[in-house]
Formats: sequence, C-alpha cells, structure tokens
Amino acid sequence: MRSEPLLTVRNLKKYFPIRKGFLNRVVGNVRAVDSVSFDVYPGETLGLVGESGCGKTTLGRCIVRGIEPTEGSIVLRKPDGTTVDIAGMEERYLRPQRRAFQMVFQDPYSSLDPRMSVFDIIAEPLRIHRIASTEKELETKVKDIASVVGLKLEHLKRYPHAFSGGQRQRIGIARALVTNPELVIADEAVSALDVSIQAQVLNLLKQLQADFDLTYIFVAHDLSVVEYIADRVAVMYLGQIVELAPTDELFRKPLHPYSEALLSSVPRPDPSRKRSKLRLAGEVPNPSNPPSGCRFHPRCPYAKDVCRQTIPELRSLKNGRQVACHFAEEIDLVGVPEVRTEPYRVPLSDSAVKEFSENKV
Amino acid sequence: MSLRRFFSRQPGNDSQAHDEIEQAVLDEGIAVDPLMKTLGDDYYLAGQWTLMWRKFKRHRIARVSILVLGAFYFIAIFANFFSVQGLRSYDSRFTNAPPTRIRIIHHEDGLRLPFVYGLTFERDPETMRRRYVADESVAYRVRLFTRGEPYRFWGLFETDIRFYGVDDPGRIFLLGTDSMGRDLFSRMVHGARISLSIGMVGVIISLVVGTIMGAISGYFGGTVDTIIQRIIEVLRSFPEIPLWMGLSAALPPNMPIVQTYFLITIILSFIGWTGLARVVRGKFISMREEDYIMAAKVSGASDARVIRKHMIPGFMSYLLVEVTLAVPRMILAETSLSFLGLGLRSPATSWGVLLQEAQSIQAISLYPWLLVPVIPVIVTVLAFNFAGDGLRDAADPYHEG
Repeated sequence: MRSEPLLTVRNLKKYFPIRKGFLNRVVGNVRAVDSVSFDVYPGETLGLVGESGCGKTTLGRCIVRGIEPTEGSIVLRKPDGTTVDIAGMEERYLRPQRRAFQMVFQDPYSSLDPRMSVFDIIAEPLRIHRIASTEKELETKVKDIASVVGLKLEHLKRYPHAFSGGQRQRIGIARALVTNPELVIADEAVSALDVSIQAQVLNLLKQLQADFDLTYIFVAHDLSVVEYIADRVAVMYLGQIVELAPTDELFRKPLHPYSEALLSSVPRPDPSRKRSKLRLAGEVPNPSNPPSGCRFHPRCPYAKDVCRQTIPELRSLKNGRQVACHFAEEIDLVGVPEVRTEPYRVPLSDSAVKEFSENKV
Repeated sequence: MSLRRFFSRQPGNDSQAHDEIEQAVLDEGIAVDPLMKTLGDDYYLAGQWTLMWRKFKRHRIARVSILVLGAFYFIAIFANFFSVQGLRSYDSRFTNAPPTRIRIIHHEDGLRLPFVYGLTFERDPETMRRRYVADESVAYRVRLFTRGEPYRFWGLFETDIRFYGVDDPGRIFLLGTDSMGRDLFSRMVHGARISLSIGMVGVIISLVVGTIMGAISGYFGGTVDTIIQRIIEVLRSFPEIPLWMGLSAALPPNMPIVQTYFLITIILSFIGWTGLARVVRGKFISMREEDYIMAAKVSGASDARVIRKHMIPGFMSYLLVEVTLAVPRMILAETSLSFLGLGLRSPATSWGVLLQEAQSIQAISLYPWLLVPVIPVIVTVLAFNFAGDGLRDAADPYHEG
C-alpha cells in the first residue's frame, strides 16, 4: 500500500474573510482550513472526521477546487506518473484535469439539478470533457455506469424528483464516476440518508472501489460509518488535523485527547460496558480567533502550561501514525472496544446488494 | 405486493396507497419516498414546466384570472371588431348620451328579440342640458356579426363586419357617450390595446435591463454589485410621480402617438427594472450556493455553461412570476400618468385617458358612466395579481408534493 501517494496535500489553507461595515472592509479571517498536510495513497479510503464546523467539508471542497484554497499545494499524481499541482491552477488549465477527481455530495436533494433528466445529469461530465465522440457512445457510457450503480435503465429519462434519497445518491455517484476518476471525495455521502439506505450506499461505494481501483476521501461526522469504510482516519479540530492513523489503531488506541473525546461518543450496544462518556468542557472556539498554543487546550482535560504556549506540530510516530499533541506518548487514552458485527448498520450481503440492484430503481 | 408491481399500478386511493407503500417497505426493506404515492410514470417523466402547469391548474382563482386576461387580450387584439365606432369617429348628435338600454319587451308587441329604441333628445328648459329619451316609435334589432362602420382589419383589408350593432339609423351606446359623442364602450375596447400592451412592452424593457443588471450584480459581486445596488436604491427612492412628470415634460408636445407611446413605456420602465434586477440578483446569489452548481463546476463546466444550463433554467420560472406581478404595476402607472395628463393624450386612447375625462366632479355627477373605465383597470390588475400568485405557488414544483 505504501507506494507513491496519489494525492499530496501540503500546508493547505482556506481563510474566509469577515467583512464589515459600509465599505466591506476585511476585519478578520475565519480559518476554516489552517495548514493541513496529508497524503492519500492509491486504492485506500481516507476518512476525515471531526465535529460540525471543523473544516472537513471545506477541506474536501478545496481539494476538488469547488472553492479556491487560500494557500498551499494539492499535488495529484496522474496515471502516467507525472504530477500536477491543482491548488493554484487557473480554472481554464484546471478544467481538463477535473475528470480525474470527482465529488459525491452530502445532500442528494440539492446536488442534482431538478430541471435535468437523470440521463443528462450523468451525461454532463462526459459532454463537458467531450469524452464520448458520438451520441451513441455517450448513451452507452451513461447506461453502463447507471447499471453499475444500480439504476434501472428505463428510469434514465426520469427527473430527480422521481427518486428517493438513496436512489438520488446513486445518481450522484454515477455522475462522479462516469469520467472514470482516480480520486473521489465523498462529502458526507451517506449522512443525509436513512440508516437502512446508508448501508446499501456504503456497500455500493466499497464495491465500486474494488471494481474500479478508486481512491476515496470520505468526509463524515458519523464515526461508525468511518470505521466501516475507511482504511485510515484523519481527525480534524478547528481547521487542523490533530491525528491521522490507520482506522483500527485510532479506534482502539487514540493518541490525541480530542480523538478520545470524539470516540467516547460512539454508541456501542454493549450493556456490560460502562458508559464513560467524556464530556468536553466549553464550546468550540471561534475559528477566526483560535486559542494560543494547542488549539484544543481550553477543552483538554490533560492540558498543561506548555499546551497554552507552544503549538504542537503534527509529528509522525510508529505504525504510520501522526499526532499533534505534546504528550501523545505520556497520556494513556481510551478507545472503543472492537465490535465485530456492525451494531445497527448490518451490511447487506453481496447477494442482497445484487437483488437490490435488480429490484430497485 | 412487490415494489415492481407497486410502481406499475394505477394511481388510486390515497390511504390504500400509503398502506401499500408501508407493506412494500416491510416486504423489501426499501424505503419509498412518500411523495411517490399514487404517482405514475407521467409524474416521474414530467419536466419543470409540466410540473408547474399541473400545480398552477390547481389554483382555481389563478386559472379563472388567466381566462379573464385571455379574453381581455383577445378583445384588445380585435378591438375594431368588438367596437361599434372607430378610434377617431364621433357623433355630435349624441353627446353625453347615457348607456342605451337593450330591451326585450316592446311596448306594443310584447316579447321580442333584443332591440333598442331610437334615441331623441329634448332640452331641459332650465339648464339647457340635453335630456335623452327613447323614441318608442322605432325599434332596431341588436344584431351580432352585423355591418357597421367600415374599418381596416389590422390594416390589411377593408371590412365593415362588427361584432355587434344595430341597423342604421339606430344607435347603440352600451356604456353611453362622452362630450364629443364618442361611444365609451368602443373607446374602452380601443384603449385596452394601449393599456394592456403598455404593461407588456414596459415589462419587456424592464426585464431586459433588469436581468442584465441583476445578473452582472449577482454574478460578479464585489464592487460592481455594490455600485449597481446603490444606483437601484437611489432610483427607488425617487418619488415616482414627480419623476414621471419631469420626464414627461421633456417629451415634445406634438410628437406622433406611436412615439409618445414608446417614450412613455421607457419612462415607466425607468423604475420598473430595479425590482426585476433585485430578483435576478437574489436568485443568482442563492443559486451560486446550490450544490448542483458546485457539482457542475467540479465536473468541469465553464461559467458560461453553468449559467446557461443550470442558472437560467433555474430562475426562469421565478422571473415569470415577477413579470406577471410587474405588468399590473405598469398598467396602473400608465393609468395614473395619463389620468394626470402626463401620459397619452386624445385621440390616443387608453383607460387612463378615458378616466382623465372623468376628472371633474361635475362630469361625474352628471355623466356617471364616464367612470366605467375604472372597472377594466381593477379587473385586469386583480387578474394579473391572482395569476401571479398562482404562478408563485407553482414556480418551485420541487418542494412539497
């Protein structure tokens, strides 16, 4: 797995200016993403977790250049081995590159243009990139991808309003995959769906990853979803990555106090387990005026003087783990016990998925 | 019941359908959007405008309003056909005549087809005013599609077929005449042409200017946006009537009617575009934030493509609503302008011009029928507003089923 990274993000920043007054003067910046660096390797799924407002969605959107990053580099390795930095690229040079990285959106209701038929929605990236040379080829490609994600071909003429959330998300996935991208950013791709549908869509995403050698960045706030789908997890707090580790290790043995607090909120249906939910004191600080030193120190139960003064770097430890805490080696943090069977999200068997794709739209 | 059968079934009873959905969910473990109950393929395959039309049809007052407006515009288009007098005709023998009564009972013969008596007048010995009395010795049948005063049909060919009329030398004045002996009903029909079309033309001008300004403002944002918004605020803070007065005063008094007409429309659009520009800007800004716009951008769509394929289709329906609601404002503005004598002048005829003649208390007390042109103004404005209401409810067919 440790080959050359597919995506290398370095010191990525996104500041949203705060404007005030009659002249709209900039009085400050919301540091939504503040100096984030990480690598994504081909074929893996990187989970991106954190509470609301921590900047994970902004980070995802910056990577696909849905919004313009303020600073930093996003280097993408192309199949031929050359690399391209898409962070500062002008839109017209970027456009041809876009087919390699696509996005699945959170809200399946607002991410599909209600005025276009499903066929046109899926065909749009093909038309933009002129991937299909004839109408017939276009149709074949759209139909192929539609059946792969489990849409019925006769429903391609329908409009999005004819579909439920899960089906719409399949349309969104088909649109993301139709250009045969290497990297797919799934921004809370299942959080708007019913729990029963979440499992189906997650399984579909896993299946597609295996079939098409996809690399995922999976943004989510639901830790059990991340545990199920991600190979590695990056925990974000206030615009920064505080810990990055293989999923199992992070869940069993978090090294950052914030990860511990986050994990303690995961519900486990184990009556024998004592509920020791860690409650974080205080509010999330204002991202336009983050605390000095470690950004987590005002809420951290283990904080010492040095935390208030010195900013902890994200440093590498063994097993490919990275953590931004001065005391990662000293404090002993509790993760969550391993639960083999998925508690409330029983994954469907392959045959069930197959049956589902045949039966349902 | 399998889902497949469920989807292929005919629309039917609601509660039954709901039970079936729940059963289907239980059977197959698949959640079904409740919106889909009782809806068939024709709903799934329906595009935006079809859905809008269906929703609009359920708004009964709006539907009636559309019919009323349709009738008004139809009459205005065929104004010569529906009137008995041409725009410039008058009959000095019958000035300030009251509305002619259409009768069906003849004083001698009893029941008859609709007819009118002849019209004569006598002088009031004290006021020297004409008093019209029915001359019961002659009766003229009211005929439809009859011959009347000749006119050119749309300037194409000469004809004298009119929708209604009485045989010569009888006269029929449905709503009476004015001080020059012009038939008020005919003038109202002719006036409808200008009154109804000035709203449309004015709105089209406002629409073009407003859309361009609004789109620039909403799309580019920043300083351009600020400047345009301040201009709009300044324009909107002008008191309208003095502004119109000023602009009308600039019109040379002896201009041909057509030119005056267009200049008046431009004057009316001068303020009208600001509202539309605001709507377009707001829509642009809110749509810029939509996920599907982001999705198109991430797919590699250029700005031009995003605007053309996603944004314009998205706000067309809202624009239609705004236009429908802007037309009556224009009509009212023209009416007030002409009423004040700042707009069109005789012999050009609009409802406002007709009302101007009813300005003096004396005229109204002696000849109350001169006020009748108020009625089509009210009806038109109400009809446009109701239709706009219905359209507004239908404009976003994707929320709420």
